[in-house]
Amino acid sequence: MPALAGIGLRAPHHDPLLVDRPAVGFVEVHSENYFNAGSPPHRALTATRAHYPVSLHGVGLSLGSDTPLADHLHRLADLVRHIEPTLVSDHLCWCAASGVHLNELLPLPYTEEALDLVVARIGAVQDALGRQILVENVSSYLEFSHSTIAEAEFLGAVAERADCGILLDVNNVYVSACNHGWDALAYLDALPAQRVWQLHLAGHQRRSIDGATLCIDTHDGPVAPAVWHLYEATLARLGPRPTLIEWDAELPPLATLCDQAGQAQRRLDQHMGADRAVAV
Amino acid sequence: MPSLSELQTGMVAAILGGDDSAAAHVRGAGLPPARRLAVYRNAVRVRLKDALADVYPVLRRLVGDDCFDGIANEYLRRHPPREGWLQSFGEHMAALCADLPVLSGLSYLPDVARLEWARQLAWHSPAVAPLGLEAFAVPPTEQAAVSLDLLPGSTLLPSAYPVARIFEVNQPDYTGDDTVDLSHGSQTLLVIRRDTTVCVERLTPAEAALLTLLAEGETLGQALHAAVSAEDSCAAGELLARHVATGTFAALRVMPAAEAAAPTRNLP
Repeated sequence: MPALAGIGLRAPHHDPLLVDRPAVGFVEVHSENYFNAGSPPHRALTATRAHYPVSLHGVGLSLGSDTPLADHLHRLADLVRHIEPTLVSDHLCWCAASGVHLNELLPLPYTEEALDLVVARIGAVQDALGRQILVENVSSYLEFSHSTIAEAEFLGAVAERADCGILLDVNNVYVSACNHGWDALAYLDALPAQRVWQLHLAGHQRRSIDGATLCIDTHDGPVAPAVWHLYEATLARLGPRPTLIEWDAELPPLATLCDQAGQAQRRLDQHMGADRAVAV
Repeated sequence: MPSLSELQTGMVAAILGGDDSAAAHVRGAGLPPARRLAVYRNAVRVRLKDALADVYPVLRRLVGDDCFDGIANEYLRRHPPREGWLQSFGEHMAALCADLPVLSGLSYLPDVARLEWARQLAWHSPAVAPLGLEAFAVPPTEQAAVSLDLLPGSTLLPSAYPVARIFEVNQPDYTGDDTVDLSHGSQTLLVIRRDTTVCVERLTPAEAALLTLLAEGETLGQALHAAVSAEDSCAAGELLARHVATGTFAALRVMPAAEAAAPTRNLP
């Protein structure tokens, strides 16, 4: 996939996108919103696919817990067959346990036990889909005291052992680094660059809680200047990668979203050599 | 050190139940572990309550934001989501409204919730080309054994209350007279998606009888008979033709003779 900038597509933008046909490199949707074949959202995505590469980004596989996978995976596989996406991804997190699916991206303890489980789970997903997936680092607001591996090393080990890609969310690196006192540049340096196949950018907010400041991954505004800087550092280290602008809450007009993608594309172009497009 | 599964069980208890024992495994640097868990508890609650509010806007408007918040909390306690997609989350709302003592004086609320859930089902159902008249070219000897399937995701909703009227006057853009007489308007509604529009259609007693029997898998002969029984003077054949023309049906099945009851009336 060429190193182009794309936009996250949410339902209110289905029609404007097909009418305006802005020049964005690809669109990305949350897979689970299109699990009902033949429903109006599913038909809108089908129409979109005729004009844009589509990336399917999941929020519910719960790659970090040993919970039933078959039904979710069956629906995802149907959607993948139908849409023929350019990329398929989900998160390095867990969402379900005790028979409950929280529909939230919860952080893992970074232990050998969790690493084995995630690797096996990704293997099962890739076998069922017949293709490689990408796994995204989440933003987090807590760390577990029994973690023994740093997140970037854990993510790299997952990608190497499961033979999958990394979707590096630069905003999430920034948010988690702020919340846990990590060194964001050291995080980038610890990743296996050749495994990073896609980047995410989004807006965040700072909230004061009991006198402490937490960075919250809100996806409700433009990319912050500090995250653009970290994105430039990422491109300098890894080279250009397909980059997605995520903006899910307080959804702006489509043109605002495309302008953010344009800002990412300008930075990508500065790093684009003749042979540096990443084949996935 | 807890196993992964023990930790996750504890986290679910902290997020849904307020049992913070999982905080023992959380680093507290700069912010107490319990406060960190609360960030996730709030995020999950907001997301799931928003999902319920998206499906039940009229219910929320009728009871008010604070009461809806309480209903949503109780919903999460009794029926947390089991799946990683939210289209199927919220199906127990009508039963919950019928069961909560605080809502006992508002006996129409469960039917309002049923209507809103039926709209959710219709929206997410697959598109199927409606049955055209040509499908009715069935030999006369088999006509009584014909059965018709409604479009997938359709719901027939009988109610003792004027639920469609309640729904109509509680739309954000409604500006007319908003009085509702709860003693008038007992009716069966058909909730159906026609192309990309979810429709709430008020049925006459004859239409309700016709479509209800068909939805239950009875033969067209029996359904037409029920329509005439419901309304003496009804032109059951015209009702049927109208629903064929508007695209209410998805499929026609000719049932094997042994399964079909004795014909009670000829087709129009």
